[in-house]
Amino acid sequence: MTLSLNKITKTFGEVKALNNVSLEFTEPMIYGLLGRNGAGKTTLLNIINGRIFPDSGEVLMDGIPVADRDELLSKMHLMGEVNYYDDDLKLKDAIKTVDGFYGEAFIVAEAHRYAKLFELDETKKIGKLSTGYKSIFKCCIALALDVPFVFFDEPVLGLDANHRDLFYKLLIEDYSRKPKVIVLSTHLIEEASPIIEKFVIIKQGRILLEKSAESLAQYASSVTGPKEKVEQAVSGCQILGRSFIGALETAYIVGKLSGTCDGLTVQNIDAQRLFIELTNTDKEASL
Amino acid sequence: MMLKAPFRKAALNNLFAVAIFYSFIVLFMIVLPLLAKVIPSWNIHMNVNGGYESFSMIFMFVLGLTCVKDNLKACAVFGRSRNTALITGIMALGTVAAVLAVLDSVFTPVTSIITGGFSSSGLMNMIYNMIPEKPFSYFGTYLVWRLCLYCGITMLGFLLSSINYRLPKVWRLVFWIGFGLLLLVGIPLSVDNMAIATVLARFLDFAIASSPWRFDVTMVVCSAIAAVLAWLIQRRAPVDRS
Amino acid sequence: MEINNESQIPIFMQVADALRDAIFTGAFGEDTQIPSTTEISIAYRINPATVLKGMNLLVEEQLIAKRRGVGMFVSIGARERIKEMRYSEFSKNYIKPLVLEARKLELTDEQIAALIKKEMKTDDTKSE
Repeated sequence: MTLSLNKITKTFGEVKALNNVSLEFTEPMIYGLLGRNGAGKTTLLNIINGRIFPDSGEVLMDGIPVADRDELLSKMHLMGEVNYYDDDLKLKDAIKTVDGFYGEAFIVAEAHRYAKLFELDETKKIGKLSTGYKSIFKCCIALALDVPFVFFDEPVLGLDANHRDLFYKLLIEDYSRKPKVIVLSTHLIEEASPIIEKFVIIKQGRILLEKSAESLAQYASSVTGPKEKVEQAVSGCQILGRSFIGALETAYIVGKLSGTCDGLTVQNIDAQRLFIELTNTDKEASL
Repeated sequence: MMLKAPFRKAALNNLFAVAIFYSFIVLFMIVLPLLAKVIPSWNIHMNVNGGYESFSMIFMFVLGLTCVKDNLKACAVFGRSRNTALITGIMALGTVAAVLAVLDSVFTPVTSIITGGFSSSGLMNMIYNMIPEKPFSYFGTYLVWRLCLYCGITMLGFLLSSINYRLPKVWRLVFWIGFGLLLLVGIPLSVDNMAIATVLARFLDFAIASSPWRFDVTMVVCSAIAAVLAWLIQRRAPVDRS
Repeated sequence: MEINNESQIPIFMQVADALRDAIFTGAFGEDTQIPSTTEISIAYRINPATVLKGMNLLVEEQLIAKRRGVGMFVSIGARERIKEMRYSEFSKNYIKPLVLEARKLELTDEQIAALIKKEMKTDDTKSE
């Protein structure tokens, strides 16, 4: 199954949240959707899942518009920041509700198992949960859903290190057993990147980069050494950013250094560093 | 369309509210008059006439108001379209209207028998001057009439709530104050104005007061109009962040 | 084994290294089954595709082989082959950097030899 976004544009008042975005999710894979605050990640996910509607463009599943089609809408789920359960609903009743809506695609036993692993008390009311546990509960629901497209918007926000670790573990377990398209939107790039197979970086409402983890690792490198030497070596390269410690310079460049690099340290840069260099504002970069 | 789950959820929610509401009303309508009989010092004279209907009307209006947001949210989050949300919401309200119509049609005469206050009975009897000879006279006509009345009222609430849902916060206040003013000031003023009052009176006479069946048709048409307007409003409604 | 995200070595290579190490130390014995891709990816919180890529390196090196419907097994003689591989790379991986650093520090050959001998001695006493 293919889920494609076709030239999606969305404005909020004066702000263009998404600008002519086209994107495709095809093979079962764990995608990483990265972007800074306000880059348009949540808007994008909300539009895909029919929570809000674009000004123009459409979301298609195997070529058929998703809007107004229950049978297509029910093939995806978004675990989002919004609290969408009634506060006075007990966890076990919320699980029943989800079961009603998703039917066979929702594995109730799994939901209970996940809740138990995270030590959620199912007799508690949702409104009584802390923010972190609300997220956890929504994660449990999303993990127990066997639909072809599952989206997580900041799933580990407010979770402690142990719970984050458990979440990643369960996510991989679930994905290995039932391969599907999983889209992970997160700010914690460093800890999420080992499980991501394809990166989508979004900046100011546009797709900046869409690369497999493998090609992303090759995409850029850093060159460190005395300032003059570095500048000489990287001249002609596309430079993403520079940082200085006294006369010691590190330059981040696209691709590899072509010429000689005697006396310079050349290293690959990881996803997080690349993301920072790609999305830094001028002000941040000058610090 | 996959209507079952959202309908079930909305209907169960509403019926739960009905259960609480009705047990309270029955207590109020039957037990209190009986107690008053036993304890003469209370010296309360209860008039049952039209009692159930007026409470049910208010209840249905409120239910129409509250039904929109929850259902829309649940549908948007668990893979259902806005159309499905709208249809199942209306279906659930219709179900409650039917349940209340049946309950009221049974309990009004039963109450008057129990409390011994059987005289004329409800709103319909009064408006159309249909004096019942026995407690259960006009049962069928009254049942349908009530159903249509409740549908109309609840759809008004549904439409208002749909508008409210899509308005920005500030405009909501303006909208509700405006609606209140229309009821409290606009209608009395327009009644003072002869031209408007005549038109209004003629319309009401024709569409509502002339016969219970014509009233039924009017209510069904109004409900349908409200449903279409609500559909236009909800079709591309975003899900609230809260 | 620990996977290091910040390492310069790609994760799939780290996975391959870890597997080789496990075979070499005997943790994964010859002719026995090694953990599945899923088990490994869950254990280290890394994408199954990455693990598979690392495993495939070992398949190419004929250190492990797939048995249809069962899983991956350590080949007979794998341990010996890893030893050979490590032996052939020993000079490149350890001696060459040592010599390079020693030259920078302007150590004489005798000094280097003495240092190595001293280190070997302390290691011997430790293991006793």
